[in-house]
Amino acid sequence: MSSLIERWQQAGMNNYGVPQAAFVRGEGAVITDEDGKQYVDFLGGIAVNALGHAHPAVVAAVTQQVRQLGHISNFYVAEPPVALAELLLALAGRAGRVVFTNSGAEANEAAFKISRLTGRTHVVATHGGFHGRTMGALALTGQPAKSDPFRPLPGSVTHTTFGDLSELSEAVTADTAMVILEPIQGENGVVVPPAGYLRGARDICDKAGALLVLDEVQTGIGRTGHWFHHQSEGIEPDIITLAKGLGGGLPIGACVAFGRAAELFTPGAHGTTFGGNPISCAAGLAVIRTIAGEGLLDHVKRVGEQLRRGVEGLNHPLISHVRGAGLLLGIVLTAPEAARVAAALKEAGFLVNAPQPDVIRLAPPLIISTEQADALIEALGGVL
Amino acid sequence: MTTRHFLRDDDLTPDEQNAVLELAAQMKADRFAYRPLEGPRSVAVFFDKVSLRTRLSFEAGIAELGGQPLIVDTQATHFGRGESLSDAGRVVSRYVAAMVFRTTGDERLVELAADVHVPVINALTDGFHPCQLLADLLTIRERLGATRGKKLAYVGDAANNMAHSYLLAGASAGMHVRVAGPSGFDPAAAVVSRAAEIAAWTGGSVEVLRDPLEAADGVDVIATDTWTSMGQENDGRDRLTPFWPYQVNGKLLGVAAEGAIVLHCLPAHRGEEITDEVMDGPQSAVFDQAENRLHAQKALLAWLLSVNQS
Repeated sequence: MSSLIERWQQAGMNNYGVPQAAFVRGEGAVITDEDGKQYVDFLGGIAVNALGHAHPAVVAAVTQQVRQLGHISNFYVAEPPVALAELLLALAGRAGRVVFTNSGAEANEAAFKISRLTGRTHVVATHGGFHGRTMGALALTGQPAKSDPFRPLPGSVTHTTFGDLSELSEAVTADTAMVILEPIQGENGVVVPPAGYLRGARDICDKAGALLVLDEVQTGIGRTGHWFHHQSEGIEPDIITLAKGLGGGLPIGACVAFGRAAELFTPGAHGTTFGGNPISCAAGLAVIRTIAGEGLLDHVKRVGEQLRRGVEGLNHPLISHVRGAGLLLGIVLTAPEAARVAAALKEAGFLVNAPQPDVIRLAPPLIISTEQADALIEALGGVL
Repeated sequence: MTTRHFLRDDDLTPDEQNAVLELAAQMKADRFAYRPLEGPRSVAVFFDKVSLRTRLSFEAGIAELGGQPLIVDTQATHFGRGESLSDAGRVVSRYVAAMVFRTTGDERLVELAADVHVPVINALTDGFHPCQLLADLLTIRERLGATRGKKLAYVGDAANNMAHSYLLAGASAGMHVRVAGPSGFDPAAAVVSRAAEIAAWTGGSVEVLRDPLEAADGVDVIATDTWTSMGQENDGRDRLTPFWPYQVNGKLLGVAAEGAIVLHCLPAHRGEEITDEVMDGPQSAVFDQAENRLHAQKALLAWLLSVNQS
């Protein structure tokens, strides 16, 4: 019998390239491939597995919910989506409204559509930004290699340099409906803007009457040691988009809007069949309650700092520095060898990825232990 | 060992908050049986702002615990003037078993406590009023039997210290906390977020609303506070026009659950944030609430002294 990878090559569309491994089991931060080899998962399903694999709280919540009440459509309502919406608003600290989606791209599509309902059509995004692969979200994404084959794309979108407030200020006009930014650009190699960038963007949007949308799909739900990364700067966006860590492995996204932005959708303006599915929402509630109850936000900050110091402390000439926040970290290399290093780490039993030729991304489960962090640092020192 | 202070409501974990409230109930039932300050050991109580209930409840409470209260009007001393609050705190901490401070900005309290190895207690700041909340939770337990799962609405100035303390302490107590105030008087987002984090852990919940009737709908407790907090009397903001819909009156109480109680931390501006009808009505618990400052603060002091010794 052929391996899973061989079978995939016969049956799967070739849009992801050949899978690097085939996994059969996961527990906590450790996953096992079909040959029985174990890996410590420092990628977390690309920042998705907030509580790692098979966390008892998620397993229990999903099992209980699927037994009690599964899908009901958005003609009706059940407790989990209401409770999750209330909890997200409370964590944001402000009154607002939520629409649930199935993914981060869809959450950004919702934000895009909300911005159109302001009566304006111009949008400002950033070079290197990643907001998803559906056509609307792709128009916002500032990575030409991903978007060029699909032009023309929707909308009137201006891309500005991430971190450059003067360029942002020039681009935003009285016709601008929204500015969409990631607080930290994850897919672009964990790029952190200069301090004050988000606050400056807030001011620019306020002056022009544009909505400020923060794509927290990768940075939200505790990833950087805050519920939402913008809280570390104390600013108040009009919309935040979420996904990835929210479901702890189940598919769910959310577009969370405040103030006037929260009132723009009216019946018929938007919808999605599975959005707000009680099972995914039950998983979301379990994820948030576990992060809160186990003090994981503080843990994220501590282990993130341990990783940063440990990696930089290797003092290896191939390592320039570590950037990012909490457990979303980019190890910046002095040469374009990230793919080689990632492959070598995989051989050593650690999963990471290389979003840029010279950047290795770490986005482990928020439950990653200090011992596992030390083990990665040691392994990295061995493979460089 | 790090000294445990009580600077904001979430300085106590939910279990610790419960332990303090249990102790407060015991102290209330057997008022003169607890003497942890016997000696007498002294407790310094500093006031940057005037006070009636806080001053007398601490003064009486410290005496009842066998201690000596040292009440200090900071305007009449060098406290915090001519030297840093941190230095002043270090000096005073060598004289006393604990310090209590009523002041303006929370940063003043934090500075006082920075290098102090006796417990420091927040007796009201612009940000929080955590001693009041211990009294309020004790009152809710007495009147309603428990806090966990009960619904509380705070209506009025949702940007003030009472709103913040209801959010944090209510969430710790496993309550469903709603706050509602007019636009421009919203609670600090960071406090709401922290309260929601605690609520996710205790099984409570937190909501920020605009409509007072929606907030009060079906709740077990309605709480309010003056629309003009201490120090805001001359800030020029119109605090009457936007607040009228938030008055706790018969209509608002009418949408609460049957048997709901009303809390007000006093002093009350009758006819503004609360009507005579409600304040003097059968559902008012405000005078029990005022008494409970004494018992709750005694328990807090005893508990802090105990954990800092262990």
